[in-house]
Amino acid sequence: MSVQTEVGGRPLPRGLQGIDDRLELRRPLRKVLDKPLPDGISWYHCFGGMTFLTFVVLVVTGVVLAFFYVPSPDHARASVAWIDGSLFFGSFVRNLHRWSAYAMVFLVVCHMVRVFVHGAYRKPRELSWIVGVVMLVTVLAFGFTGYLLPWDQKAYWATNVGINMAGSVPLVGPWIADLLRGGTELGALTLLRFYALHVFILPAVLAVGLVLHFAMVRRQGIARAL
Amino acid sequence: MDSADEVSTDTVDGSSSPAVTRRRFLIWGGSCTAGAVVAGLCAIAVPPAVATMFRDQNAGWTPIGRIDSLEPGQPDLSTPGTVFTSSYSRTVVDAFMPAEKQRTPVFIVSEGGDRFTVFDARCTHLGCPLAWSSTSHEFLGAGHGAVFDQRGEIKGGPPPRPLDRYDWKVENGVLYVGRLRKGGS
Repeated sequence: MSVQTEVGGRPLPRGLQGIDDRLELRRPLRKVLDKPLPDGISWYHCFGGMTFLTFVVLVVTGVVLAFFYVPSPDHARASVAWIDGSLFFGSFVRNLHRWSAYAMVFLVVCHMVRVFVHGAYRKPRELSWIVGVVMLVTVLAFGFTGYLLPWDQKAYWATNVGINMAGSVPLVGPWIADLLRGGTELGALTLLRFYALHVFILPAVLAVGLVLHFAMVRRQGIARAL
Repeated sequence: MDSADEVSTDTVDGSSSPAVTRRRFLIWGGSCTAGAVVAGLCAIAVPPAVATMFRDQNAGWTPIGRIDSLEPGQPDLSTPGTVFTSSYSRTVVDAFMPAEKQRTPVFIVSEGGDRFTVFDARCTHLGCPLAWSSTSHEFLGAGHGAVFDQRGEIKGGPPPRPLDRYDWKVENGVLYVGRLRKGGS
């Protein structure tokens, strides 16, 4: 089979050709998307992509839940119960959000183990690893903040324990705990700031991390297997 | 990464039809998989977001009051042509909010005997409240100059249709309202 450097084998449909005439996207898109893989790629290399798939599912189901959830102590429990009991497809969407969250934590650890075992974190890919560690912590923070939102007994006491664990850190612990609670008592402000973290701040952090992570793996290519 | 720029040709030498290469197969397979994921996510996300539009708003029959004395100190409804500004209360459950009494204003027009017309007190233009003018015998819109006559027909202003009216019934001297019907239908 002959190899040619000219990009693009077939003419595009007219509408797409019109777009490509103006933006000239075909060549760079080909370069980014049509990347040859090194030998020895296995299914173990799919953990990162699977983690990203759970992220997409979590964003979509999370946006749906945001249509109906109220982050306020007097309505949080009722709105979650209403989503579960009265909303068409609501229980399914909420459980999909929950199970995708569990799957994301599991898969992100699998991904990290794979990268570690293959030694793929070594030079020149240290920055990918560092960004990945930041995203790992972000994913766990998603889990921690999301756990409080149903505002039931389990949510309340689990968060109580988690914040007290943060509070046991030497010297700065009490300040961290008060910062997480938004005061000295776990209450309305805690729920509201966990919600803000969960739907505004952490998604932004993760989105930036993902862009960097993907850009670096595209730039450097997948590490050769051992 | 020069190899990244190398793209195999899509046609086998000597043939004008595109061959199904491994590359092409994977591109199509990957694209179809991604499309299936997007379609699946839409199928999950759209139903709950739109389902609440289709809830049945019919709350059954709600009493307004006795037709011989709707409210103390007010004229009764036995005189034909009497227009009475009233309201009914029903318990409304708004999604996950606690059940709440909600008061809805209506106009009751006596047609003589036990016959009535019950109008929704909101303008059919953009939903502004209407007021009954006992001097000009018209319903006047608060916002945009709408004017309806006593039969709910448009006399002026921007409304697109006559006043909306309720199904009604009288049982044991009590006037009830039911489903709200679009005016002019």
